[in-house]
Amino acid sequence: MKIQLKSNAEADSLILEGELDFQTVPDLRREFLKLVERKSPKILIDLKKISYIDSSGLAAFVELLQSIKSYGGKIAFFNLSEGVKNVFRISKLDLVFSLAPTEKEALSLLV
Amino acid sequence: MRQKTITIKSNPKWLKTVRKKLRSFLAKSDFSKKDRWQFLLAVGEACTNSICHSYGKNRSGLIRIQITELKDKIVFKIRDYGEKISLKKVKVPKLPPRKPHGLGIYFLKTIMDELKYNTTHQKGNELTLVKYKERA
Repeated sequence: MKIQLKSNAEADSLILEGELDFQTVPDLRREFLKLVERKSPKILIDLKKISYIDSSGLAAFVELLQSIKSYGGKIAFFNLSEGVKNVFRISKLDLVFSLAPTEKEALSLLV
Repeated sequence: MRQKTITIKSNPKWLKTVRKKLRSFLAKSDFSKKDRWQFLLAVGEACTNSICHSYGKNRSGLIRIQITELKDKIVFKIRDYGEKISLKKVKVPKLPPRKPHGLGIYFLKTIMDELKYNTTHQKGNELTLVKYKERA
């Protein structure tokens, strides 16, 4: 699992690559913790290169959402494959998270 | 009938191997791409449950995954030899989840047509997951 952080004036973007499961999710949680500690106001997550995600991955996203809500932070996901989108749909988390096809559209959801 | 058995240790580092072998088996089945993706998820969740709940901190317990594809269905049996799972504690979460737990069992119930826990073995658990093929 590779995690790349790109930060600019508009948002902090995490680009995730690989498979997100119970084994790899602790790495992601560490990155999330860093963003929460510095109270990142806008977080974008690029899932283009995520080929698999399970409930552990979704749980990490729910935890992050709960943490950033405490200081008014916002989060959006983009570039979801059909498989990944389906996992959000099954868990009804597509109703909780902002999902967008592109980075630009995801950013517009954070206003 | 086609059959494959995958045996791993109760260490999450083997989850990727399970998916790789399962992908290879499913590539020869006539299930849709969406179904195949969901089977990876269901079997992965079942193995994660065995690792987390049956074996706890033990990373060397055995987990055996048996896949059987028949004319009308596919059957996954996930057998572990750890602590017996208390079925009373297995709760399906309300959706969308507010707490980051319990989604795994929800996925299993949603994706598969049948789910049965056999806890009558002398040791461990056996989870049977069944998905029927759609008739043309």
